Amino acid sequence: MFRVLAGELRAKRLDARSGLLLVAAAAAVVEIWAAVGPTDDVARIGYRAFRTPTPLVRDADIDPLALYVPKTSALVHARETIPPDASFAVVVGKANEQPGIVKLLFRLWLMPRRYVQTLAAAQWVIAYERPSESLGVQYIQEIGLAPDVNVVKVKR
Amino acid sequence: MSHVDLGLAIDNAVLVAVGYAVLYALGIVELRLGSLVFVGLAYLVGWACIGVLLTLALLAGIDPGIPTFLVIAGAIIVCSGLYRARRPGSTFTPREHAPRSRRASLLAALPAVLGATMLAIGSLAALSVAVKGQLYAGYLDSFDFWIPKAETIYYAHGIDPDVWATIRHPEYPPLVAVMDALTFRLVGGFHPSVLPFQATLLGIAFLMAVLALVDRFAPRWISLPSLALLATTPWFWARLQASLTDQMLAYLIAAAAIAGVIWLYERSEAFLVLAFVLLAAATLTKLEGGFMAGLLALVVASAGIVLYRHAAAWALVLLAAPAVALPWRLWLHHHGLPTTSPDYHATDLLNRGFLSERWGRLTGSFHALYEGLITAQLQTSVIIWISVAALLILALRLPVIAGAVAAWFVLSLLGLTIVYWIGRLTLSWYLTTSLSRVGTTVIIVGGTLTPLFLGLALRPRRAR
Repeated sequence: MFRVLAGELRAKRLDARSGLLLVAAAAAVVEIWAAVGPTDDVARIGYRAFRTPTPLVRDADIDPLALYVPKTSALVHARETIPPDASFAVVVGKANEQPGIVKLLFRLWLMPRRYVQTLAAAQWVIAYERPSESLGVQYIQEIGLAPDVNVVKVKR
Repeated sequence: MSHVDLGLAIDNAVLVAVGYAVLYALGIVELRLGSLVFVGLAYLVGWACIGVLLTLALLAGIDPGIPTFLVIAGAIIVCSGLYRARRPGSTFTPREHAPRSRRASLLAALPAVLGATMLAIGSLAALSVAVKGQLYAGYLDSFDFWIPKAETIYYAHGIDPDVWATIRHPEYPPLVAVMDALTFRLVGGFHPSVLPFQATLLGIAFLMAVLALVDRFAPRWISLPSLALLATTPWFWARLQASLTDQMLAYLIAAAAIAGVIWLYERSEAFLVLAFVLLAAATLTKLEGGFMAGLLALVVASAGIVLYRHAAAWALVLLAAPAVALPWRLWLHHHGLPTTSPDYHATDLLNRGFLSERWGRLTGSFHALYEGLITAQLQTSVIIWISVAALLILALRLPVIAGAVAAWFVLSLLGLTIVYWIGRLTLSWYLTTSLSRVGTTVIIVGGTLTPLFLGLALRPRRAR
């Protein structure tokens, strides 16, 4: 009797395993089906990137920022102009729609130069899309960074 | 070969070597060609070990630069070799090949080959985009605080509390910033465009790590389609190269969850150690990492004690992994910086008036969670439904393990929802920004545990 019962159990286990295999196979089919569309998309994106020349590292560093600060030369020239141990502030003209992002990117690009929020604490002030004269600080030097972007050395 | 290429090659080679050394010491890999399949896991483990130790060095006032990196890596490799020489035991078990008919083998090969092909396409496409370096600035948070944190560590040869305080979210732990700063050192300058490549390598390593970990339990016709779907799901693939820490946190938590489940199943201490390392790294990756890691440690240790009683008591050591955040909290406190997120206060949970006033936020969060997980995107909902089905199937065979994992899922999602409930920021911000990033950890954990669950359910029963 026990032998018959064990045989039945074994048969049931086999059935359960077959059922499990079917569920796993169905899952694999659904996963493959769901992945086809996105794989097609990523393959296209990847192929397009593969065909695009790889930029020099210095260009790859700065180019993505053009999305937010179209005048990227201002970032490059500001780094060349402001000494590494100096403090600086950024003032953005009212016409600019993303003044916060412009300031963030100057802070990112100009480190280790110390970014400060107030003009009183800054040794250098970047006037982005606004005249240097409107900054309200006295300066001893004005240097053009890009069209409509200047940096001034504050008089202390 | 340029300085940048050489730096990246050294960085990645050392991380792989460290990871292999740790896995070798744990007996998870052997010194043989077949262990190459563990290269992804080795990279992930090497990244986690170096990340944790460099972060602790940083907090101790040591410059986390190239000399520190090489000394730590060398020490790990030597200690691992010595440890293994003294304890030559191995937990390495080759894959089991169930006998199958020729027809069944061919049928099984089809989803495996398709999955592997999709995975390869997704990985190559991601690398192809990553080497251009254009996506490092794809997210505001990247250039608002993640990259500036790495940059200040790079320039200051340490962590300057005055500068750190001026960067948003100073309370976030610095592991990823430390690793990015190390990359800048190795490539010879502040080159944020190399970060997407490093992030993508880590992502691909994670996918390979999952495959290596579940390989002994799940046939590849089950594991490869699961991983292929996850890898090509738009949000996962797009964020492979992001300089955000959310996806990295998800890798660490998911790999730790797999290691935890393997330990629960076969009680091999090596996987407990592995889970410990990954949970410690997750804790130092992001503030939410401490919560998710602590929760995972708790459910794995509890399930271990339920299953193995006193024999599993030392699994409680897992609970010490999130404690690695203590030096970070002490450092913040010492420098007068916030130790918790200013966006919410846990004490508000005791204020009934405050909570009832915001009841709409709670129901709104649950609704958004449901939409985000189930209805927003076909691929995500397929991952979720198959994970749930696999969990239910596992519950029939291994109810304690399934219960522990289910508890982690529910409590993690509940934790997120509670933050959105009591958070000071607008609910829409949480739902559009936080949920879509932090919430993905839960989906990635689910997606990567699915093949393991199915594989375990398919294994013959064993006496316990």
